[in-house]
Amino acid sequence: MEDPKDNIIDQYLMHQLDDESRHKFEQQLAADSDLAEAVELRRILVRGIRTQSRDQLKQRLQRIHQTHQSSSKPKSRGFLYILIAVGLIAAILLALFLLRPAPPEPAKLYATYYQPYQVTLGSRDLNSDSPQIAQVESLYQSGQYQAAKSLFESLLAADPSNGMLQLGLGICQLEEGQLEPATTTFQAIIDQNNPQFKDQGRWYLALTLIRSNQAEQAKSLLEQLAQDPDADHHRDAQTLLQELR
Amino acid sequence: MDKSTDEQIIEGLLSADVREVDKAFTALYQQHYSLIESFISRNSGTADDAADLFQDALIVFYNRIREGRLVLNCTTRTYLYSVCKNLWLKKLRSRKKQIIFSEDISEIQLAAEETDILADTDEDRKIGKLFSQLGADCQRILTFFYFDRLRMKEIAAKMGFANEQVAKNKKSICLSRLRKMVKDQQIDKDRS
Repeated sequence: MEDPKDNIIDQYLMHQLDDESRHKFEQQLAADSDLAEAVELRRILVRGIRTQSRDQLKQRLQRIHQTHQSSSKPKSRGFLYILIAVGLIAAILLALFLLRPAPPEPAKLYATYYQPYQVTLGSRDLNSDSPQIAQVESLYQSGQYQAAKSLFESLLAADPSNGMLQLGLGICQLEEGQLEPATTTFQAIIDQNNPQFKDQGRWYLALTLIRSNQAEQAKSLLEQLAQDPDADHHRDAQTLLQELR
Repeated sequence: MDKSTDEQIIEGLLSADVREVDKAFTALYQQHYSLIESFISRNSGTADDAADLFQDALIVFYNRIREGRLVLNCTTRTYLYSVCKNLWLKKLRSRKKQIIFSEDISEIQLAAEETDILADTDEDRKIGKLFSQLGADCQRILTFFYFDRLRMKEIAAKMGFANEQVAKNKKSICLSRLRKMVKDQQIDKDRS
C-alpha cells in the first residue's frame, strides 16, 4: 500500500512543488527528524536508481550509435571516387539485381521465423503443483494468450525476476499484438543477463522489432546471436540476417 | 538526413513510447553527430571519445527535457554542442592537455547543475547495483517513475496494470524492497 508521505517526498525531491509548498515542506523537515531521515534515505535511493537507469539508457544509445554508424554515408573525397567506381559496377549488376526476387517484407520474415517459445513451468524455481501454474501452462499451450497473459502477470508479481514467466508474458504480448509491452518485456530479460534466457530475449526482441518495422535495430541483436556459436537461435539469426541484408 | 524539426524531436523525447524516444535519438544522431565528431577530432579526441561524449550529451538533454526544467532558448544543435564542449573541456583538463578551441559555432552558457545526471558517487553506484538485483518489473516501474518521469497513468498502461492505483501500490512495494536491501546491506556492513 502506498505511504501517504510518499507522494510529497517524491514531489519535493523531483522539484515538483511550487515555492510556497516547498517552503512549507522544508519547515516540516526542520521540525520532524523522522521525516528528514525518510527524505534523506529517499534521496539516496533515487540517486542510485537514476545512476543505474542512466547507464541502461547509455547502452541503448550505444546500440543507436552502432546503427547510425553502419548506415551513415562516407564523407571524405576519396570515398567519392570509390563510390563512382562502385556505382559503375552497380549499374552493370542492376539488371541482374532487378531479376532477383524482392527482399521479403518484415511481416513475411516475421511469420517465417516466429515460433512461440515452449514454456515449461515445472522448473525447480516454481511451485509446479500450484493450480495457477497448471492453468497458465494449459492456456498458453492451447493458444489462449490473452487469458494466459493475465495469469503470467499475476505470477510475476510474486516472482518478478523469473525469466521463464517473463518469456511467457512477452510471447503472450506479442501474440496479442502488444508490441511495445513485448519490447519492454524482452528488453528486461536481456538486461537481467540470466544466461538461461538472455539469448531467447534477444531473439524474440529482434522478431518484435522486425514486426514493428525496425529491422535496423533488430540487426544488432541478431548479430550478437550470429557471432556466438553457442547462442540459442545462432543459425536462425545467421539466416535471418542474410535475408535482412 | 532526417528532417525532423527541433519541436518534433522534443515531442518524441517526451513520449511514453520507447520507439518514439529512440526515433528522436536517431534523428539527433543524424542531424548533429557529425558536428560533434569533427569538433572532438580537431581537439585531441578520438572517435570513441566523440561517441561517448555525444551519448552523455543526449542523456543530459533527455534528462532535462523529462524533468521539465529545460528552458531551451536556442536550437538543439547549439545546446548539444555547448554540453559537449563543456564536458570535453572538463575531460581535457583532467587529462592535463592543452586546450585550443577554435570553433566558430554559437554556444550557450550552461548552469553547473545542467550535467548533474552524469555525476555519481560510490554510494550511488552501490545503490544502483542493489537496484539491478530487484525484479525486472520493479526496475521498470522505478525507472519509468524516477528517470523517465512518466505519470502513474502512463506507467499503468505500459505495465498492463488495471489502473493508476495499482501502479502506485506496486511502485511503493518496489521502493520498500530497495529500501530494505539498502538497510540490510548497511547492517551487514556494520556487523563485519
